[in-house]
Amino acid sequence: MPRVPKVEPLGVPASPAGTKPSGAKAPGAVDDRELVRRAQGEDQEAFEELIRRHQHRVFAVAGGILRRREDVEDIAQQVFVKAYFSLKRFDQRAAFSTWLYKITVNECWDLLRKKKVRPLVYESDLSEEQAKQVIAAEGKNSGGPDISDRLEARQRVERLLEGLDERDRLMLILKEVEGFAVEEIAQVLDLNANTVKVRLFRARRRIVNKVRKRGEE
Amino acid sequence: MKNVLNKGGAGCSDFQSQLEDAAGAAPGAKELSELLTAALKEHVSTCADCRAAAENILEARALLAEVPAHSAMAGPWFAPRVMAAIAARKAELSRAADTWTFLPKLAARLTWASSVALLLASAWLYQRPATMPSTGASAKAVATDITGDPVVDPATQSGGDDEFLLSLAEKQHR
Repeated sequence: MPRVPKVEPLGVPASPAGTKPSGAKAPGAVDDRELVRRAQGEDQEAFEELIRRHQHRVFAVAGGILRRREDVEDIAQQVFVKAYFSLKRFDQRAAFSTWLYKITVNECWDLLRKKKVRPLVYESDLSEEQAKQVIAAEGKNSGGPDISDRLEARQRVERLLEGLDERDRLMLILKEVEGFAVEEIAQVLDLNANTVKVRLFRARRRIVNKVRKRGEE
Repeated sequence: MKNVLNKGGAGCSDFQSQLEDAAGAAPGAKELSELLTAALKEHVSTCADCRAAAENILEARALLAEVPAHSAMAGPWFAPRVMAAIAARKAELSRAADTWTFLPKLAARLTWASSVALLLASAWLYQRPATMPSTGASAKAVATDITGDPVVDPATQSGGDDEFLLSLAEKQHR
C-alpha cells in the first residue's frame, strides 16, 4: 500500500501571495479542485494538466532534498504516479499542491533511507567533464566567468550548504534558488511561516559568516 | 521568531519579517530597497542588526545564484512520460488481476473434487477393518527361529526368573 500523507486542512491558499507558482491558473482556466475532481473520475487529460501545473514545484522540492539530477527525475515521476493511484482517497480538504509536496518530501526521505546515503550528492560527484557540460547546457556562461571558475564557485557553495541542517538547507534552496514564498515553504515542511522565517534568517547568517571567515583566512 | 528577530524591539521584528517577504520578489539590493517602505528604510539606516539581516539576504542570494534550479529541469517531455508510466502500471495491475481471477473458478471445482475425495477416503477407512482378515484381537504374533521353535526373548525371560526368585525369597523370609 503506498504511503500517502494525510494532510490536515491548513487554510493556506493554493497559490500564496507574492509568488507565481506553476500551479497558478491562467485567467479563465480550470482550477486545481475541478481538475482533481475530473481526474478522480478517470479523466487522464485533467491529470496531465495537473502534472504540467505542478511539475516545476515537485522538481524544485525533490531537487532541494536530493540534488542529484537522475534521482530528482525518477522521484518526480514516482510522485505523480503515486498521486494518480491515490487520488481517489484525496478528499480535497487541503490544497492539491500541499498534498503533492508532502508525497514528494516523503518519497525523497524514503529514497535516502533506502540508499542510506547522505542527502546531498553534489555536482562535484560528476566528472569534471560532465559538470562542465551541465553548466554549458544551462547557457549561462556567455559573457560571464570561465566555466571552470563557475564550477569551482558552485562546488564551494554546495560545500557551504553541506554544513547546514537538512531542513535549513532545503528552505534556503527553495527560497533563494527556486523562488518559493515563505508560505509555500511552510506548506512543504509542515511548519509555521514564522518558524520558516527564523530558520531562514539563521541559515543565511550561518553561511554568510562562514564565507566571511574563509575570506579572512 | 521573537527570540531572533526581536532583539532590537518591535521595529526590528516587523522589519525583518517584511524583509523576508519582500526578498521573495526582489532579486537585488536596489529592488529590495525599492520594496521597503520609508519607515523601514529609516529603521535600517539606524539599526545595525537589521542592516546585517538585509546584507545577509543579499549576500546569500549572490552566493546561491551559482546553485542550479531543479525546477528548470521539468519540461514538456515530463507529463507524457508520467502518463506512460501510469499506463504501464495500470497494464501491470490488470495483468496481475487477470492472473488471479481464474482462481475463484478453479477453487470451486477444487472444493468439489476435494469433497468427493474426502468422502471416498472416509468410506474406505470405515470399510477397511471389516474387510481385513480377522486374526483375533487377542492373538499375538509369535516370532519363530529357523527351525520353527518359538524364540524366547531373553530379557523377558530373565525378568520372569528374577520375579520368581524374588517372590520365593520373600516367602522364605516370612
